[in-house]
Amino acid sequence: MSTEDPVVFVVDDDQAIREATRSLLSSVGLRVETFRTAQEFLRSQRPDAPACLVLDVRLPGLSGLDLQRDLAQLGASIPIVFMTGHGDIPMSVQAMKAGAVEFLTKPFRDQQLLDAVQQAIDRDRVERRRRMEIGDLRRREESLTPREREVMALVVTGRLNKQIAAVLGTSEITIKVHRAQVMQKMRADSVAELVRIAERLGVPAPGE
Amino acid sequence: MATALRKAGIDVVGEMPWGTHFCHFYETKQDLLDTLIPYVKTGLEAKEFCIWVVSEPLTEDEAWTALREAVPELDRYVSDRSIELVLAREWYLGSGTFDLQRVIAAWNGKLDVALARGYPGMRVSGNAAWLDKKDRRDFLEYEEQLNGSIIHRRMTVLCTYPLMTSGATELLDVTRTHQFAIATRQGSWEVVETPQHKQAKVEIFKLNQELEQRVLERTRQLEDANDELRKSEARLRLLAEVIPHQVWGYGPDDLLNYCNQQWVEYSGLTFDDAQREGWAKRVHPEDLERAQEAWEQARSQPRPYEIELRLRGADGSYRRFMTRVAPLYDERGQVAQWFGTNTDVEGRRQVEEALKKVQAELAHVTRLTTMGELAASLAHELNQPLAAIVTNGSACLRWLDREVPDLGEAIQSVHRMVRDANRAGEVIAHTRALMKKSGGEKSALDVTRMIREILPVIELEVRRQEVVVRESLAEDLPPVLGARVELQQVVLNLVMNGIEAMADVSGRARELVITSERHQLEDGPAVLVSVQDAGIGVAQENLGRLFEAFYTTKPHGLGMGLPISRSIAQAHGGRLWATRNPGHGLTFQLALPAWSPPGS
Repeated sequence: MSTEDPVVFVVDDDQAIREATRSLLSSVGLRVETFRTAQEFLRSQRPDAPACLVLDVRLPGLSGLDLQRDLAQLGASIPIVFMTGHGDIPMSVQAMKAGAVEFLTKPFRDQQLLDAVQQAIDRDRVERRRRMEIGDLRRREESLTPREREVMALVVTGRLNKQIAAVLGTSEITIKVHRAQVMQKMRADSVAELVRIAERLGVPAPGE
Repeated sequence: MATALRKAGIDVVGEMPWGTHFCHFYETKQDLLDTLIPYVKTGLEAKEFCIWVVSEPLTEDEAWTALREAVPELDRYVSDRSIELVLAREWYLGSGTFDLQRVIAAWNGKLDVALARGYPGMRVSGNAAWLDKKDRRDFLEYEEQLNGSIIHRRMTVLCTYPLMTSGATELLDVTRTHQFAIATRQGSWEVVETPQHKQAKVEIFKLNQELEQRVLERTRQLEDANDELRKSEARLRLLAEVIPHQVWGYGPDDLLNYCNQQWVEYSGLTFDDAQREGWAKRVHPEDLERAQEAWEQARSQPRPYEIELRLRGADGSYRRFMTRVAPLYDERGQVAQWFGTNTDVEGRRQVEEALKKVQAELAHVTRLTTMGELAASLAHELNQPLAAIVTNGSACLRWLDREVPDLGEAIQSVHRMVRDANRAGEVIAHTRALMKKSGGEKSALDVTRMIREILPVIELEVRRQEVVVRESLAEDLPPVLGARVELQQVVLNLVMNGIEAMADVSGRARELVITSERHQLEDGPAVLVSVQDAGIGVAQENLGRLFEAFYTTKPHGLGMGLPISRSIAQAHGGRLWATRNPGHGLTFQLALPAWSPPGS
């Protein structure tokens, strides 16, 4: 199974629900891992793959909503599909505000769960891709020398080489060399592209 | 012995008691008359019987003449024999010799006759001028005896002795044999007292002083006591005025004789008005019969009692009071006074009612909450397996719907569905068992007593809905084996239903009749409790539906009371049913089998 095969984590304290959900998700070819408690899930080694979390709101110990909050604080952004025994509107609003994909009331129709899970996995795929790209850009940025970084920061503000040379107290020729290095290391074909890359990296404009 | 003092008629003597025996030493005939005439005159005027023993130097005629001059009504005194003049020699010597016993006996005889004739006593004037020397000794002995015997008799004796013919020894002897002596010398009077007399007078004076002292002390003590009594009464009165209760008193004549300021202020009546009106007008008409009964009963068999009554205030509104009444007895054990206090309990009753209401509401809320929680818990318990069954079913279909159906997975899904459905069944069975268990311990119960315990609980509702509750509760019921709280819940439920059914009734008495009596069920003796209302009733065709769950005619009813009540009745081997009354409303009847202890 390739690492890009999605995986669904199911957390529910009721064994019957865990088993039924696993069976349903397995029947459409999804990889499923089940946990009895939120703590058990937090302690687990999770594969590096698009994933989603099917989470019961009421859990012994750490509740579903607690787990959602803790994951957000850890920066582990995994899309969540909530399940609950009875529709509790304030609770569902809280969950949705905190970024839940769906809030399902048991018993739910199978297609509802499968759609929600699919949506969540798709969202995670996009997110993973975004994270990967940022990681790639960051690695390029890390290959820059300190002087090249300064030059890049000034280039993306739209300054001319002469102006940059004046700011950094060096010759225009030197700046030109640095600038070529930046464009090459950051794999940018144009200043416009370099600006987009800098934006995604959140490069601070000098002097601001 | 009479203590009243007699006027002597002689200034220096003044007043004298009966039993006074004194002597007068005179110089001249005039002296003698000056003493004896007023002496006798005063006696006559004081309605005393007087005997004047006349001797020389006076003759009988001279005596009469002098008397007639001084006493204008002398003839009347003579004719009614208030005065006798006797001659000294005849009186003292009689047949010839002086016999002191005979003379003393003669005085006593005269006195007895005078007292028998109604005189207060006898006044005597004696004379010793006739005495020969040979008789002097005997006469002194006579005087001494007389002096001793006269003291306790109702007579006064004045003996006259001529000063000139008496020697010094004789003077002393004579003086000694009298209580005191008076003398006229050259126009002035002198009183000579004998040592005994002096001593006696001193002692009398001392006794008088002591007596006076004791009278003063006693008076002061009495005054102190009176003062203390007054202070004590004032304190009690003040107390009666300042305590925050109405205080009143009724005499045995059934008249108000005291009421304190609180009483006056609350009633708005003056004491006179209140006394005229009597208390009955101040009592709420609904409480009057009860109040009069209690009062009559207490009066026929005096004892303290207390009773809660509504009393009318000055503004015409009524407040509830706890009235306590107690009799005060006199030394013969008769009721001398009734005292009463009225304590305002309106505020307390209102708080109690509010509290009861809150409690009732709380109980209701608690019941609802408990039911809600039970329902929520039941829903969750059932929802989990149901959700699992649904999901397993869906999964099963998907396993079968594959291009290559996965029978293994499908079968496992069906197995799980069976398992989860069984689990749901267990939840229901468990809940049912739980409900059954909460019934409580069964014991032998007196149904009438059990009903009486409920009555205070319904009191507030009864009053609020203006319902009249009549009880007809049998005292000799056989016991019933049951859970007290459950059965009370049933009766309470029936009573509350009855009261609610009458809430919108007008134009007829809202009467609720609670009855307990002996009854016969198919399988043996039983106790029957009936709750009859005069409410809106139920159509004949809906009578049976009353006991169905969730059937209700009440706007806020749950429709659970009667079904639960019936299941409790059945759990006790009894029955609960309803019938329509011939007039209005329904009668609910609860029959419970009588319990006979094992071995009886």
